[in-house]
Formats: sequence, C-alpha cells, structure tokens
Amino acid sequence: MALIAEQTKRLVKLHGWIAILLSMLLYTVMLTGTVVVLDNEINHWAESEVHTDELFTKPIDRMYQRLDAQVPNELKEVVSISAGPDDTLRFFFGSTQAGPEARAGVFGRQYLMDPDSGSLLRAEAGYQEDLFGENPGAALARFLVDLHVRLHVPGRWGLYLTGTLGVVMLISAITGILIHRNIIRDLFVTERPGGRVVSVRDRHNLAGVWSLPFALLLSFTGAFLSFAVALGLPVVAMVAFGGDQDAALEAVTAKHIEVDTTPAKITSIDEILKQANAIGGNPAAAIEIHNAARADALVETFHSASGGNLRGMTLAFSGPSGAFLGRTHVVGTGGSAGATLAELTAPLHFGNFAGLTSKIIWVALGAAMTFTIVSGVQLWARRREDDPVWVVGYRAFVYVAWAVPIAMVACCYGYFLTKLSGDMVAWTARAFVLAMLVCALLSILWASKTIAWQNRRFATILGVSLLLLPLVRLQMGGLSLGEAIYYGGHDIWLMDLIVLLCGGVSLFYARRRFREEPQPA
Amino acid sequence: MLSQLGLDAHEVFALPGLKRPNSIDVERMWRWVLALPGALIISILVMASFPMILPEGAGGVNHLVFPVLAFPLIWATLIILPVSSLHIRKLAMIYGGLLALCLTIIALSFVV
Repeated sequence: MALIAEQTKRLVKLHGWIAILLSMLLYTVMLTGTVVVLDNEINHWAESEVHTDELFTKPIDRMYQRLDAQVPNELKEVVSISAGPDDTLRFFFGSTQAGPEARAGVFGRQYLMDPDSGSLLRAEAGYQEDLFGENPGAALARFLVDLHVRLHVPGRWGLYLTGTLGVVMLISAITGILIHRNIIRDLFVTERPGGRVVSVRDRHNLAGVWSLPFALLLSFTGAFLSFAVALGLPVVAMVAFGGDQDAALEAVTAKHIEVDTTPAKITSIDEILKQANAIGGNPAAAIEIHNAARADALVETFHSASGGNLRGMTLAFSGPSGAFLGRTHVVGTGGSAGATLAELTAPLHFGNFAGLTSKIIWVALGAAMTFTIVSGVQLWARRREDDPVWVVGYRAFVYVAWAVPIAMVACCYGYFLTKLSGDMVAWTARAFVLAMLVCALLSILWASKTIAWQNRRFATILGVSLLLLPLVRLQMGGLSLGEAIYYGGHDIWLMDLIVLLCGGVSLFYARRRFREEPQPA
Repeated sequence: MLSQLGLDAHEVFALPGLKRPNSIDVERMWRWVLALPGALIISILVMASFPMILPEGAGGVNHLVFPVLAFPLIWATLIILPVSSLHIRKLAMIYGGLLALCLTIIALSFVV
C-alpha cells in the first residue's frame, strides 16, 4: 500500500503523539509507584497514627468470645480480626450471600473495639468490601495507590492500562540492555558539560544503567500484578475451567480442608496467637477464621516478612483444638515453584520485605527509573527540536512531569484542610484534579516562555508547597515532631523529613536554574 | 553499511530522487502487524494453551500460575522480535506456526 506524502506525515504525527502519551502515562505510574512504596508510612503520617506492631500481643480472646456469642452461626463463614481505623481492633463476622439479589462479596457485621479496655466502640452491618474501605482517614494513601495501580480508570480497564505500561517498561529495559554496548562504562559516566544532546544522553545512560535490573524486576512484577486477575485468571478459566472464573479462583486459592459441619467452638485465640507469634518470628498482623462455628474451623494468622525472609508467612491452626497445621500458601495446596514465584512477586514489587531499609532502596531506585523516563523523553525531543509535533509534545510532557507531583502535593492539602470536617475522600480527589487544571492553565499562559523558564516556576511552586505541607498538617490537628518522637510515631517525623527534603531539593533546583539564567544588562 | 553511517533504509529512501521500493512498505507493514496485534493475540493464546500442557506440580497450581507469570515476558519478547528481526518472512511463519499450535491445543481442550 503506497502512502502519499501527506498520509505518511499524518502517520508520523500519530506515532509521535502515541509515544508522548505513553511516556506521560508511564511517568505518572512510575512517579506514583515510587511514592506509594511508602503507602503505610503515608497513611500513618496522614492519620497522625502512632503505629505499633503489637496489636496481637495483647489478649483478645475475651473480646472474641463475647462477640461470637452475639453473632448467628450463619455469619461465621469468614471471621476477620485486624487493625481498624483510629487504633481500634476490628472484628468482622460474615458469609457470602446466596440468591439472585445478592452481590458478590462477603456480607456481615463489623465491631470496632478498644484493644486496651475491650469495650465496644462501633457496630455496623454491611459488605466487607464497603466496611473495610470506609475509613476516610486512609483516603490519601488510597487515592495515591489507586492512581498507581489503575490510574483511576474504573474496572479492569485501569489494570489493563497499567499492565500494558508495565510491558512497555519491560521492553524499554530489555532493549536498553540490547543497545548498550558499554554497560559497565556507563555505570560511571559523568555528564559532559554544555547542556548538549550528549549531556542529556550521559544523564539518561547513567540513570538508566543503574536502574536497569530494578526496571526489569519492577516492570515484570507490576505487569504480572495488573494482569493476573484482570486478564490471566479469565483466560485460564476460559480454557481450563470452561469459563468458570470462580472455579479457577477456587482451584488456585482453595484451602482443601476436610469438611466437617458438626457444630464446634473455637478454642482460645490467645493460645493460638502465642504459638503463631513464636513460629512466625513476629506478632501476627491479622487473623482470619474460616467456618468459625464448625468442627473444621481453620484459623489463619498472617505475619509480615522477618529474619531475612523475602516473604511473609501464613500459619494455619485447627479452630477447635488449636493444633498447628502448617504453613499455608497464597496459591496452591503445598509448596511448589509456581506458588513460591507467585508469592514473591508482591514483596519484590512493593519492596516491603526488609522494613524501612528495603523501602528506602526501592524509593531511590524508583526515583532513578522515573528520572530515566524524563531524560529519555528529553533526549528524544532534543533530537527532534525542528519538528513542531515534538516541540508541542515535549511541552505537553513537561506539563505532566510537573503537574503530577504538584497535584499529588495538592491532594495532601485537600486531605489535611478537610480533615476536621471529615470530607477528606472527596477533597483529596478534587484537589488533585484542581491542581492538574491550574497547572494546565499555567502551561497555556506560559506557552510563549522557554521550557527552562517553565521548569523554574514549576519547581518553585512544588518546592514551596512541599515546605509548607508539614505546617498545614500540624495546624489541622496532626502530631508535632516532639509528640511523634515521644509516642514512637516514627513514620510521622520520617514523612515530614522526606517532604521537607523534597521541597528543599526542588527549590534548590529552581534557584540554581535562576542563577544560570542570563540576567538583563 | 547503512547502519554504520547512522542511517536506515527508510531514511535513505526518503531522500529526494530515490524511489522507495514497495517491498520496504510491505516489510514495514508486517513488522507492525506482528509486533502489535500479532504479539498480543499470540501471547494471550500461549497463556491460554499452557495450562493444558504444563504439569500441575506439588501445589497443584504450577500449570495455572506459570502461564500468567510468563505472559508479560512472552508479550514483550514477541513485540521485540519483529522490530529487530532481519528475516521478517521467516518470523511471520514462526508466528503463524505458534498461532496454529496454540489454537490446536485450545481446541483439543474443549473436545477432550
């Protein structure tokens, strides 16, 4: 098919714009991914919550037995005990609902208890998904995580989008390895001065080569996590289970317990926890009981990774006798290569296997990867400076590169400023959208200015807004630095420190660029 | 030779006075077809057919987990190959063979 010159020109334009659009989305996913490595810390910082891992070191059996006596046996298919909002202990008793009007999910009763006094603070009924997601205090972390996981695109489409971006990143990493002839030399390359194309290439090579192994790992695990349930499960279910996705999920996650419907009581939860905490090496983070009113009741305790292990641990106990049954796997009925690999993808993607140390390494390497995307687009655009499509495309990328971090800071403002009125869920999202719109307006107003000029202004806005953020948090009822240190709220002062550091770096960048700008005579 | 000069065939034939051979357009079209819809369709079909041929393993899930785990890698590889291959016709035949094989395995799974 012979194309006339005009058609070719249009196709080249389309090609350029798709590349620009993909780089913008990829940048957004990478930047948000770098930030949400610290999602738990952000949550504790936002809620001014002094987090302790010792929720299940205190006795909880009396609370459980008291609630168990009040709940009908029909609502004891799944019992979940975990940390609730505002330092409470959450007990949820529920069952999957049958019938044409029942929606998918577990319906039941939730009780929020004071872990110290054992008194009931709140009780409500509903679907587990709604009750667990109701906490407005977690709105900020949840918004940022959703932005990373699905770019706020609803349903499976968001997962398809981020999964595809993961594959795009994987291709970039593989082709990066293939086209680099001197990877070792590029590990120590220094940027050549003068702001030339080679200078940008040196920057890109340096950041890219250092983050290559990490780019491979993160893009692969990220694509897997996006596609596993959204695409993998339906496809496998279609072929191997005649389209029955529930059967496929059951085959993968089934507990394979010998069914015994004889009524029975759960033995002391405290005794089970004592064993679990000793075997798991650290206190349990959550407990789940299956078929709590029957003789085949299974108690599972979840433990985070400890003692140099990459993976966390799930331990199984018999409900009526309290006997230790062994380790359970996220997928499958026993230890196998598939189960191990599936379990490893999450900790390797989230970087949460060695506490704060691994998280900080993941943040640093994520930042390097984000910078690689920026420098890659810069390099691509510098080589096409004469092409008007790329000039406009690059300006659009510059807008996204600044607007996304500024909007992320704005959603923190939206959260904190509405914390006292309790309307954080709506205003976290609104503030993000508003900031994106304001930045778009500024980009249009500054269209006649150079990109360097825009960079300086945007960096100043970002720097100042970051530096003021801890002050706003404090004014809206957050813990002060002294209180955070005194009560052991390490995440709070750590996040304040990170915010101030990022603000300082942003302002330093803006001021340095100001100095480089030629001054009028 | 052209690559040593930092040029590719498309840039050379874009020069005024040089007529672009039709085979380059056809080759380019095949690269696009194989790298975009071809790679996606075949990688989904490979993922769908693997549970039929892989062993279950001790946990009974290897045949279900490995195809899903390998999907991003397979898709990425199937995109890179047509872009970098010098023998696009041979590659098209390999892709065609893979497609036929996967469809056969899937069809057999519904029959058996």
